[in-house]
Amino acid sequence: MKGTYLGEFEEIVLLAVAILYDQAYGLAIKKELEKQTGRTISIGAVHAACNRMQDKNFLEASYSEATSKRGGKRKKLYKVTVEGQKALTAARELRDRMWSQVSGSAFQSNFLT
Amino acid sequence: MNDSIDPQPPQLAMRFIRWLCADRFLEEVEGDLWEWYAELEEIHGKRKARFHFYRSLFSYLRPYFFRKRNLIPTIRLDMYKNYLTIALRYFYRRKTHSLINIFGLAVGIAACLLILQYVSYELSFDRFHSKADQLYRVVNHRFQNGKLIQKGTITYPTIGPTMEEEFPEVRSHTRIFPGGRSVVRSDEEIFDVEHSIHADNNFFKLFSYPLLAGDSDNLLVNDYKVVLSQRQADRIFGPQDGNYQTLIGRTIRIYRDEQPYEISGIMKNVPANSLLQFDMVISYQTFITQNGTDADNSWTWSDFHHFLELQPGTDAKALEAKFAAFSDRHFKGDQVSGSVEEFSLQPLKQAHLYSNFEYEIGQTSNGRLIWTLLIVAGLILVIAWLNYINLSTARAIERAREVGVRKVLGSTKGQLIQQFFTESVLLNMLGLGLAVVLIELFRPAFSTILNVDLSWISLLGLGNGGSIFPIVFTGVFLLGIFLSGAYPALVLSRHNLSAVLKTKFNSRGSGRWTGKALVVFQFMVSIVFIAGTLLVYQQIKYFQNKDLGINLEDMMVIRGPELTAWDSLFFENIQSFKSEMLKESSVMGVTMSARLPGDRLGRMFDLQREDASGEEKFVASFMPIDHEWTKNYQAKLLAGRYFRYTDHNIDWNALDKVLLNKSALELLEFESSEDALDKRVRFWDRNWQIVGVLDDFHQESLQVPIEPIIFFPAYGTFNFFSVKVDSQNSEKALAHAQASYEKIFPGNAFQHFYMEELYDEQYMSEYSFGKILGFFTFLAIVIACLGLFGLLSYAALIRTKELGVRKILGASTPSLFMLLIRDFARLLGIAFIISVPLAIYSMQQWLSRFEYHIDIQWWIFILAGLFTLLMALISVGFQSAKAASRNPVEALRYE
Repeated sequence: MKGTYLGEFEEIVLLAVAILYDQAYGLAIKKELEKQTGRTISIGAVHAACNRMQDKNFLEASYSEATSKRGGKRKKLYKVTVEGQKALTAARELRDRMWSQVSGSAFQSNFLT
Repeated sequence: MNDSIDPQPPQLAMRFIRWLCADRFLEEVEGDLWEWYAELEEIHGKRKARFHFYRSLFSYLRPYFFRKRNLIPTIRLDMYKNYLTIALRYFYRRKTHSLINIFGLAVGIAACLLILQYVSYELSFDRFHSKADQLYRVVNHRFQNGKLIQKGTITYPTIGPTMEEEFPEVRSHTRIFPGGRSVVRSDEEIFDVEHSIHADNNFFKLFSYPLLAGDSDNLLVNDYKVVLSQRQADRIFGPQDGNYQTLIGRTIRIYRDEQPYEISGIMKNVPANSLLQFDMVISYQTFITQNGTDADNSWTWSDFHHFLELQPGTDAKALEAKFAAFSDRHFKGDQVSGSVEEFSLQPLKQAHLYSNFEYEIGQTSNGRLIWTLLIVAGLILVIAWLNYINLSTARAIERAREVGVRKVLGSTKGQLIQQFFTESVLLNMLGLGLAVVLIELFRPAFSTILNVDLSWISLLGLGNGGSIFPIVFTGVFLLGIFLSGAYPALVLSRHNLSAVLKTKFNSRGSGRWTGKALVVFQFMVSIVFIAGTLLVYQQIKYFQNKDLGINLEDMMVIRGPELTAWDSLFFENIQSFKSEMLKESSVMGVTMSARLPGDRLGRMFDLQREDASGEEKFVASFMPIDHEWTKNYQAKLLAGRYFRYTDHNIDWNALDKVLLNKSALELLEFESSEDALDKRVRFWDRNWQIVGVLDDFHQESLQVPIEPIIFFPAYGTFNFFSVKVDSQNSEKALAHAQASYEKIFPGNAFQHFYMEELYDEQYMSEYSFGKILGFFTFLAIVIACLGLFGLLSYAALIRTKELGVRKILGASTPSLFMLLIRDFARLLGIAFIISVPLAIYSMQQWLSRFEYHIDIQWWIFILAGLFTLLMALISVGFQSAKAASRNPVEALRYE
C-alpha cells in the first residue's frame, strides 16, 4: 500500500495546485513553483510528484480538450482532493504546534554564547 | 497541419521519452514538454532551448516513470531452466562429443593463460622503478676499419659524467662496475656473495630499490661503504627481526682486503623482475681508491656500465643524434681507444628483453621468444574456438528436428538464439573451469621449464605495473566466448522450418565450408609445430654433439684459492697442489686458467704484426692459460709448441710468449702456421713471440662465431682449476681434490662444479624453447585430434543411411574407411602445401640466430605430414570401425 505521508516538495506542489485552482497542469505548476520559490524546478520532478500524489489520492486529475499547441496532447489538470486538503492541514498544524513550543530565546542563545 | 508554426521539440528527445516512460504518463509528459519547448525556444533561441530541453530529460530518469520492461521475466526464467535442462540432457546423451568440446576448449584456454602468465611476467621487468620511463642505459658499439668489432654496454668511466655535463637533457647518471662474486668475511666466517656491484651514490636515486635502513641520500658517498641485501644481511649477521637499523655502521671485510667496509644501508632483496640482480653494492669510490684515478677519468679503460636519467619529456632519439659529435669530440676517430666509438641509448624497460650485447651484466631474456610464444598462445586459442564453433555447427544437423519442433510450437528466432547461446556460454564456462584446474596442474612443470615462478598475480599484472595485458586479454576472451557462442546459435536457429521437418536438411550447405577451412588450418598448425619441434631438437642435438675442438668431458672445475696471497710463492703453491692432485690415480690432469670454456673473453684492440708496414690495428680476444691447459683440454696444436712452465713469470712485464689460434693467424695474414712461428706480434705496447699455433675451437657456444684468440702464459688468484678425472672414479677424485685443496690452501672455501654443465648453460634458452615448443606441439595435436575426431563422427553420422546401404550392398570395412578418409586426406594435402613454406620461413628465422647450425632437411616435413596423416587415420579408423560394426538395419531405421 502506498503511504500517505506528505513530503516537503509534495506539500508545496499541492499548494501550487491549490493556488492555480482550475489551471493546474504540469508546466503551469512548474512555473508557479519557480515563481514562488525563486529556484529552478525540473519538469520531471513536478510530473513525478503530481502522479505520485494522484496515486496517494491527494490529487485528482481530468483531461482538457486537445490543442495543436501541445502536439495534439491534452492537458492533465489536477485538483486537490479532500484527502489532499486534510494532509495539507495536518502538515500545517504540525508546524504550528511545533512553532508554538519553541521558546523565544531558543534562537538567541546561540548568539549569546 | 499547423505544426510548422509552433517550434517542435527535438524528435530524438521525444522518442527517448516515449521509449522510457510508461504509457500512462505519456499524454501529460509529452504535452507539457511540447508546450514548454515552444516557450523555451521563444525565449532562448533554438540552441540554448535544445540544451535546456535535453538536460531536463535527466529528470525523467527515475524508476517511477519507467515503462515496465520484461528484462528477466519469470516466464522466461522458466525458459532458461528449460534451456539448461535440454543442454544438460544433450551433453549427457552425447557424452564423448560434449567432453571433446569442453576438453578442447579447456586445453586451449589453459595453454593460452599459462603463456600469458609467463609473457606478462617477462614484460613486467624494471617497471617498478618510479623513474622507469626516464632511465636509459648507454650502449657503446665499437668499430675498427669500418667493421663492428664489439657491441656492448661496457664503456669508459668518463662517459656518464661527461654526458651529464655536456647535455642538458641528461639530468643525472650512475656508474656501475660489475663485481661479480665476492667473498665476504665477518668474524673469521666466510660468505659467498654471488652478485656484487660497485656503484656510485646516484645508484639508489635513479633506481627504486627500497631500503630497510640507511640514509638514502648518502649511501655510497665515500670509499669503503657497502649496502647489503636483506637476505645477505640475515646470512652474515643472523636474523634481525625486521630491525636493520642496528647493522648500520657495522663492518665486513671483502676478500683479502684488511680495510673494513662500513655498512651504510640495508636494502630489500632485489625483485625477481629486475634487470640488475645483486646482493651487495660497494661504493664506487672504493674502486677508485683501489685502482687509481683511471677508474674515474680514463678514456681507454672500458669495463663500466652507465645508466642515464633524462629530463622528463626528453626525446631520446634526438639526444642520440648528438652522440656522433660527442664521440668525435672525445675519441677523435680511433686515435684514443684504438676503435671508433658509437654511442646510443636503450630504454631500461627494454633492456631485459632486447639485449644481445656482449658483456651483459643484467638478467636477460629473448624478446622474440616472448612474442613467438604470444603468437603460439593466440593460435592455440583460435584453434580451440574454431574447433568449438565447428563441432557445435555440425551439431546443428542433429538438432535440426528439435529446432523444427520448437519453431512449430512458436519459438521465435530470438528465443532459439538465446537457447543455443545459453548452451555455448555454459560450455565455455565449463571449459574455463576445467582450464583453471589444468593450469594449476601444469604450472609447476611449466615454471620449472621456464625457470620462472608463475602466478596468477603476474597474469593479472598486479604489482608489475603492466595492466594492459589482462585488460586486452579479458576483452579478447569475452569476445571469443561471444563469437564462438553466437555463430553456432545463429546457424542453429536459421534452419528452414519445412526443410527441417521433412528431414531433408542439407549437410553440404555453407556450414561445411567453414568446417573444411578449420581442418586445413588445424592440420597446418600441427604440421608447422611438429616440423618446428623436430628442427629445434635436431639443432639442440647438434649443439650437444658437435666437436668443439676441445674436450670438456669429465672436467671438474675448482675455484682458485681466492684468499691466498699473490706473491712469489704463488706458483709453487699451485704446482704443489697440482702434484698433490696427481697422486690420486683417478685424476688425469690439472690445469689453471683465468677463463673457462663458455666465458666471453676480454678483447684487445691494438693487435699488430711487428713486421707490419701499415698502422692498421686488429681486435682479438685474449686468454691467459697455464702451460698444461692445452694438453688437458686436448686443444690441437697445428705448429710449434705448447707453453712451458718456464714461460710463466710472476712479473707481468717479463711475459713475452704467445700462442695464436687459427683465426688469429688468418687475421694477421700469416701464410701458414709455420710461417708464424717465432715471428712477433705487438699489443699493449709490447712485443710478444709466437711459439705455437692452435687449431680453432669453440670457446663460446655455437651461437657465436669463433674469434681470433691470443693466449699468453699467466694465471693468478681468481682463476679456476680444471681437473680431468676418470669418470669411473669421479667420487674418489672429488674427495681427494677437497682434501688436497684444504691442505695446500687453508682458509679457502672448496667449491667445485662440472665443466659440461657450465658450458651447457649457454643453451638454456634453446633448451627451454625446445621443451615449450614440444609441449605446445603436443597441445596443438591434442586439440586438432579432438576436432578431427568430432568432425569425423559427424561425417559418419550424416552418412549413416548411406553407409548402411553400402554395407547391405556388400561394401567392406576398408572401403568404408576409404570413403570417410578421402575428404580429409585432400584437406591434409592442402594443409601440407601451405604449411611447408611457412615452416621453412620460421625455421630459417630461428636458425639464423646461430652462427653454427644444421641445414633444414626435407624429411622433417615428410615426417610431420605423415604423423598428422597417422593421427587422422587413427581417428577415421575408429569411426569407420564403429560404422562398419553397426547393424545396417539399425542404420537404415535411423531416420
